[in-house]
Amino acid sequence: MADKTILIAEDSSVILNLTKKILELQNYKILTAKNGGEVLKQVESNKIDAILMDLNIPVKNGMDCTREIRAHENKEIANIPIIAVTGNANNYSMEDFKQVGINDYLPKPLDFDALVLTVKKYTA
Amino acid sequence: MPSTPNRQLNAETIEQANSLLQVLSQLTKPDHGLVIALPNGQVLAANTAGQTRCAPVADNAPAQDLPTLLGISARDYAALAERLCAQEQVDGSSTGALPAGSGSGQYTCRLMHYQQRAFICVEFTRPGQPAGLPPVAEQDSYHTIFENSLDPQFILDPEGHFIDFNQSALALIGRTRAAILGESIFRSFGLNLFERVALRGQLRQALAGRLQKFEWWLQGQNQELLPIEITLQAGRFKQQQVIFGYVKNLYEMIDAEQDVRFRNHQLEFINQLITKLSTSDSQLQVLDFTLDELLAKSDISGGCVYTTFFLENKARLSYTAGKMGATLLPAELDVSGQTMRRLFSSDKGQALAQLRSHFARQLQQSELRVVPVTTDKDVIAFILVWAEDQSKMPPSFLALLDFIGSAIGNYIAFHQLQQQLLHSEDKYRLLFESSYDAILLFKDRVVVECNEKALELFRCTREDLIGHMPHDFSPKYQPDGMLSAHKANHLMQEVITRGKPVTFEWKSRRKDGTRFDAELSVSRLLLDGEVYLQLFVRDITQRKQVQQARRREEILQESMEQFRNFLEKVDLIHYSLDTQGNIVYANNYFLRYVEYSREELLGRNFYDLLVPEPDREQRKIDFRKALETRQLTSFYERDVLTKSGLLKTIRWNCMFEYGPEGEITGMTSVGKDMTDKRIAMEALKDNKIRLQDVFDNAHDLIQNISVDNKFIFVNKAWKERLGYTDDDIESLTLNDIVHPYYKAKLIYQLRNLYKGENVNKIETVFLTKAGKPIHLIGSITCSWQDERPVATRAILHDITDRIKAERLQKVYYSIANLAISSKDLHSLYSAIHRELSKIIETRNIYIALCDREHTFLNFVYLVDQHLDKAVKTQIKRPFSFGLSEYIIETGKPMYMQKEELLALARQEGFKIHGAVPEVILCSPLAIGERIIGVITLQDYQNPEAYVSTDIEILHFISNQVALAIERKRNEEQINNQNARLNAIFESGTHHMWSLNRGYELTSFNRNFAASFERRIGQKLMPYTRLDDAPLLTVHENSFKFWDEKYQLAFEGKPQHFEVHLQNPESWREVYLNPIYREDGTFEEISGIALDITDKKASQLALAKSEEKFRHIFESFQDVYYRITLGGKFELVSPSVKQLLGYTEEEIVDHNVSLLYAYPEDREILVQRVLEQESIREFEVQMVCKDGTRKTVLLDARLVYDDQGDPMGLEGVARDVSELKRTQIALLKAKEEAENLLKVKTQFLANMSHELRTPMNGIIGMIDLLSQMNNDAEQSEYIDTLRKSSDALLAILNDILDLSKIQAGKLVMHESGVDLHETLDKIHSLFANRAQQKDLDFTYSISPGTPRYIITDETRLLQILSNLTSNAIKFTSAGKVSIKVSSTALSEDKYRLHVRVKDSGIGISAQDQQLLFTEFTQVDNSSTKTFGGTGLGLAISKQLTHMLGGNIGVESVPGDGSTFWFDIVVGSASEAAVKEQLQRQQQQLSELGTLDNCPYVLLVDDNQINQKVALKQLERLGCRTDVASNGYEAIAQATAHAYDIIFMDIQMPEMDGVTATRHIKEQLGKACPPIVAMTAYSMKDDGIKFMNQGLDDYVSKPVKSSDLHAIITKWENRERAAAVTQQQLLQQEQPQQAPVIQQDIIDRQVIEQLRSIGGEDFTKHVYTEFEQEAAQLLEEAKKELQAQQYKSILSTLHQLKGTGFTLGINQLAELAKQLEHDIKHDHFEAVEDNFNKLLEQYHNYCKAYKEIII
Repeated sequence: MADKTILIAEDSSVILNLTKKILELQNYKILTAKNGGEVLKQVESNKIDAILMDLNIPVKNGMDCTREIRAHENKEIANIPIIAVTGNANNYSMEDFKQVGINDYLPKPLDFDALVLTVKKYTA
Repeated sequence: MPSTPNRQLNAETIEQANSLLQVLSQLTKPDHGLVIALPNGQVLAANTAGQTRCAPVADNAPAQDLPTLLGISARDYAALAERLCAQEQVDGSSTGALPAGSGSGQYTCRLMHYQQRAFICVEFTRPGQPAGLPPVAEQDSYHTIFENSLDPQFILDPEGHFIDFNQSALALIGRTRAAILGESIFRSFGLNLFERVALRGQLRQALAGRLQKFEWWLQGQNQELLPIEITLQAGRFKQQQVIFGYVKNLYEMIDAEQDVRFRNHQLEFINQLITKLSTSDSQLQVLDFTLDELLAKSDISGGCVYTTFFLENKARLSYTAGKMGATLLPAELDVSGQTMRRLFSSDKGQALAQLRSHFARQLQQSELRVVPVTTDKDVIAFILVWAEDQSKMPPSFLALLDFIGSAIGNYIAFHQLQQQLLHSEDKYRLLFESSYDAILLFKDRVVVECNEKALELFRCTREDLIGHMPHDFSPKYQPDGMLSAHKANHLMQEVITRGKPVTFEWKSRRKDGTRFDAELSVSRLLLDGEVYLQLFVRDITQRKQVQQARRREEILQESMEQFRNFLEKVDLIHYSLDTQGNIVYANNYFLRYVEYSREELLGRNFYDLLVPEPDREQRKIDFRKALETRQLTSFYERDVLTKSGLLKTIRWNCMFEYGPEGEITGMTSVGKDMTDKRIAMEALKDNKIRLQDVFDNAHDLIQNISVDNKFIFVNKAWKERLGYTDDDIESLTLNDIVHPYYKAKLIYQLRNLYKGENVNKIETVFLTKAGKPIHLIGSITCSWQDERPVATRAILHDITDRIKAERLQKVYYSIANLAISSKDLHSLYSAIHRELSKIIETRNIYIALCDREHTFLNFVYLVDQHLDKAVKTQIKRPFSFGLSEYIIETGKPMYMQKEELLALARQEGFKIHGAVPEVILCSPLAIGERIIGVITLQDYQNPEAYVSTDIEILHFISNQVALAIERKRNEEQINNQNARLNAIFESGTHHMWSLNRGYELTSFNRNFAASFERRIGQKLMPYTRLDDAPLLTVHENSFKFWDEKYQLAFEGKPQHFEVHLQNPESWREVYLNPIYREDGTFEEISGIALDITDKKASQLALAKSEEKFRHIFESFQDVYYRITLGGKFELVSPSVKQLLGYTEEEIVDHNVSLLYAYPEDREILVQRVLEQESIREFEVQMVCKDGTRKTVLLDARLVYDDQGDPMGLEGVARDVSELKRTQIALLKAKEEAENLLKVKTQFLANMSHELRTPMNGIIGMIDLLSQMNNDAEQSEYIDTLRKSSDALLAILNDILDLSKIQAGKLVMHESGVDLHETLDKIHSLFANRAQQKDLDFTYSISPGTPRYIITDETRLLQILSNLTSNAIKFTSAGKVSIKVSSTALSEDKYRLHVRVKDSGIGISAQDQQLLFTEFTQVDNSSTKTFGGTGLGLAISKQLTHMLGGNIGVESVPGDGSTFWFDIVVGSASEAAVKEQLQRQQQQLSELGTLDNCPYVLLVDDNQINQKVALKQLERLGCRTDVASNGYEAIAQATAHAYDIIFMDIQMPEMDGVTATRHIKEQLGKACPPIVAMTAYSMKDDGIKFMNQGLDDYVSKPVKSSDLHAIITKWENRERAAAVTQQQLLQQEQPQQAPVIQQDIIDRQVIEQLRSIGGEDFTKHVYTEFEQEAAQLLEEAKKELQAQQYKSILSTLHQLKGTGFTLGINQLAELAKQLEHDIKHDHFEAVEDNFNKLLEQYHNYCKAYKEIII
């Protein structure tokens, strides 16, 4: 799989860089967003194959971002797989995720293998 | 006889008498009569006994006369009084009428002075009895007793005012009686408030009759505090109550204190002694003085001094003082040397004692003290002292004596030495000073000492001589021509080496410059082994002068002789005159010349004899005048009259003759005959000298140069101007001094000159020695010899100044022009530099400019040797304190040499930037008053590069420079501005033009020109008239239209209009505005035309669409409205009639608020629209015309005006009344439903509790059973029991699950599952039941189905058991089977199919519909065959959905049913699952006893539960107490120290939460953890309890493993806390346990990261975390300080997530804990935990780098 683009939305630069590195090692092209606003900008200006979305990002949280992306008029954007990454601060249930259109979720602390597997799954 | 000036007695006198009586009666016996009377005999007072004497006189009134009373005649009384006045006491017997029974009449009269008044006091006694009062001889009045008392005493009145003082008291306070009488005691001693209060109290007490004794203090004369004791006693004085006061000086009282004082005195004594000794001269004096002092200042009564003579072993009496003993003191005492020596050894005491007794014997004076006066080696003397009273020599005094002995001894030794020194010094000094000659003492050739004479001789101070060398006070040369310095050195060296005294004559110079001759005698001295030279200077000037005078006379005569001899040999006239003009000498030539014989001539007056008559008087006058003024004309021609009467003209040279003292003695004249040829030659020679003189005096530079350009001659002016000396000139050639630029030209000119051409003018430049050019102009001539040029002579005129001035002027003008010619500022600066360099050295130059506000300094031009030429960048610095700033501030030009510059910098405190120049010129750049900068020239090498006049040049130029710069700057600015304006002017599509009153186009932009040019076909030129022919016609809309507008504009009315252009079709918006000048007038107008075609087009389009809109508007069903912000209707669609019943016309222009049922709605609406611009579906109640109300939904948006300001609202209104009603109904229904749901949830919760309690007993007991050592069969049964109960519990949990599911709260817990085991569980659970019904119950798993799967086993079991139990329930016969199969969905996902088939009653299709609905059962009849909750299938359905699948049933009634479900499962590895299972089992099996036997309190009201839990805890090795209710719990918990308390929550009387609160309150920090045991199994419940103060919870039924886990957990936590404490302690020590560091980051995670990204990446990740966390924590800290706990949640969340991800577990745990606490509003521990978090973070920061490596 050559150069799929993953958008990582994450406000912790530590996790952001960590995730980025891991995925880059898997030959993914990485875009980043530090807040919800950037997520939407990135989504609209790049072709993105999957989004790793921390739900706890500022400006617009991951749930809202997901809703907006899913409601996007551009079908291609609306259908980008979204993988939530969360320590589940708000006790979202899987159903909540499904409702907004999150495809999958990775709990924090991040399991790096699971991360790679999950991303692979949605970009295959 | 004492007179009584006033016979009329006043009350005062009587009072005084009474007071005296009072005093006296205390001194005598009470039965003695006392009478007080005046000296005249008038009785004033009497005591009782005395009154009886007076009794015969009527009524006790003591008005009787004393004579009467005493029974003597008036005459006798007068004698008596007289005797009394003589201070006598008179005794007598009264013979007068004595009253009967009063005894005999013996009396004593005394005159007493009391209070400045004389009284006669009569004491009556019985015969033979002595008088009570003291006799007069001793104490003449009572008052003196008081007065003379040694104790200070005083009397106070009750208010504290002094009535009287005795002498001692006055002495004590050091004041006079007058000063203090009548004063208040409080005021007298400057008492402060507290002291006054205390004293007042004491006085009051004393007055009340209580004796007061207290300590007080007084301020003595020397300001020291004198402690006193005051005794106050009440008494009567002068018939009034008074206080008698006694003062005791405590100093005298207290021995110890006295001692201290005495010691002080001693020290003082020694000090004084030593001080005074220093004025004593000899040893004897010292000793005598010491003894005197001792006598004066101590209690010794006498003493003597024996001085010792060590060698003779004797001491001789040298001094005695004070009282001597009985015998005469022996003149000599024997003292053994040995004894004296022993005084220096350790047994000094013994030696002293021995001496004492020895001396005492010899002196016969027993009370003797021996004071040996010793130096460190010798006993000098003994001072012997004695006192009359042994007690006056206390030990302290003896110590003093001892001390005095050694102190004096040391002093004497010292004194002696000094004396010796002084003696020798004095001798020397005496010699030295009394010498007639000046003496100088040299050491190392400088003067080290000199005597007064020397100072006199050299007329200077000692300082002027000492430290100086001989040549410093000698002229440079000695008469023999040697340098003084050399000669002195030489002579001194000789004396030093040879040691032989030398005497020689010397020329000396005084400080004032006068010289004198001296005879110097130098001799060598050796002092302390060092060589000195002693120099005697004897002034021999007088002698010398005499010598010289003699010598001079000789010389004079000799020279005169020689002179005359010489003159004899030449033919020169020579004669001498004396001061009278008489001829004293004439040579032969002269004699011959004037034809007289010598005899005839000598002695004759020259003028009378030889001067022609007409000149005679004048020449005599001239002669006298010359003598007086001592001035001669050097030569003159005069006539001489010869004997024969001839007149001869002689040229004379005259000179004065001087005597030895320099006085004029005559005049000698030498004359030459003018006709003589030799004279002519002389004259020529003379001329040459004069010529030289002329040359030298010329201002012009004159030089003679040989053809090889060597200097033959230059004049003084030349040398001065060019700065060369004669020596220089010798070695120089012309080439060396000609400026290189001018060399070629000069050489060319010289060559021409040598060729014979006429070069009459040369102009050249020479260089001075300092290298400065000098411009010269002048003539040059060549001298020839043998037709060859040999030399040139040039007369040159210095025109440097002129040239400079000319150039200066030129430069000045050229700089003025530079501003115009330079293309930009920088080239201007360069040009200025270039111009300046024409007149002045400009190697280093800079121009610095400042702004008006002086905020910065910009070095716009800088050429400097020290700076790289390539650096072109401008240096800009803030205006600070540099030289440039100084110049700018002061505005003064400066010329400074390096020193001056540095001094100025120091003085003004500015900084010199860069290298310090040798010389610098700075001039401010000023334009009028304003200074814009500074121009500076400097030179780093040559201090003479500039002279002070150069600054004038620079300053002269600088103004012009400033102007040029400013002009250029302005120009550039204007250019820039113009460019900008032009850019604006030409940009865009605007047309711009301006027009003057003559309609001439003064300016226009290209657009404007283009539009005209297109129409007229030719170029539009400026100043074309708009009303000219070619333009007139091409105006759009006709010229008339424009003319009108222009005219209005010229009237000052700005025009703004639109024009529609035809060519091309367009619209323009035109503005015409007057162009106002500063004075407010205008001559031109400007025109701007904007292209508004597009705008216009859209406006028109709008107008069209408006029409369309109107149609829509009118047919609108909803109501469109537009209202102003104020609420006024502007527009409303006609449909308003249907909505509200008003017509359009009725509403427009009315206010909308009328329509609102609640006007506040409108305010909210407007507010929200203003905020959000538009809102939708805002619901309001509106009132219709008929008064009914309608619910209306409003859409509204903000309408803006042209400027973009909101001006109103527009929108649509819709009637939703009907809709609303439906909605309300719905809402009600929903609320009801929700209420029901709540009731249901509550029911379920309660239900579950009721069910769980018995279940707890069952499961608990089974649990216990299973742990007992049973046999295999029992174990199997128990296992079944356990499994069954577990399953049952699981089912119970269903009840809750459902509500959880309904709330969407149910969470799947996926884990590895062994499918076979799961089915085995189901089978064993239902096998019994099936067996009971005799059913065949089987299960099968199709091959290919993965055995190990990932799913939520509990839920899977739940579904399975639901279906299975149903199947068994509804099947009476046959079989029940479970079949499991699967299909693979992906690599690791499967769909698991489960089918539960029964052979039961079957279900109808209709019933199948209801099957999966909650709370329904297919059989609803009252005769229900089958029990159950009816929830099973509903839950199963939900659960299958959650597990990613579905559930269903296939059934034919009567033919059994098959319930199926399929779920999505993951595949798991066998190993993982096994491991997991093993772990679980291990947990069960390894549930050993707890090691440290925890002490547990169990609180439960239920007997069964108690029993179960008790057993469980026992098995875990706990010591357990039981409490059955809250009260018991509190009692127990407070009585024993439990490790942990398990607390049931639901208890009668007092619930667990309350009990917990009480326990915690009572135990505080010592409270053990309290764990809730609760059947409220919903997780939220647990949290709820923890919120209510419990520390943890465990849900019922409680398992051993749970208990074990909980106890272990809390044990560990406490241990951890203890460990943390310990760690904290350890951290204070330097070595930190490395274990802690390792624990900071999970190594596994590090390894993992490393394997993913490598070393650097890993490092980077952790470093980044450090930074990120720092930031987050910093922000969080601020939030926490503001108590904004919730705000840090996201930070904590992030730290938690990131921390765990990176394996920084401790930190992450803390973050997690904090997050949890804050979320649940537990803020108590937040502060602490956050600090821990910070600490953890710091630990991390410190350690992580090492850990990673």
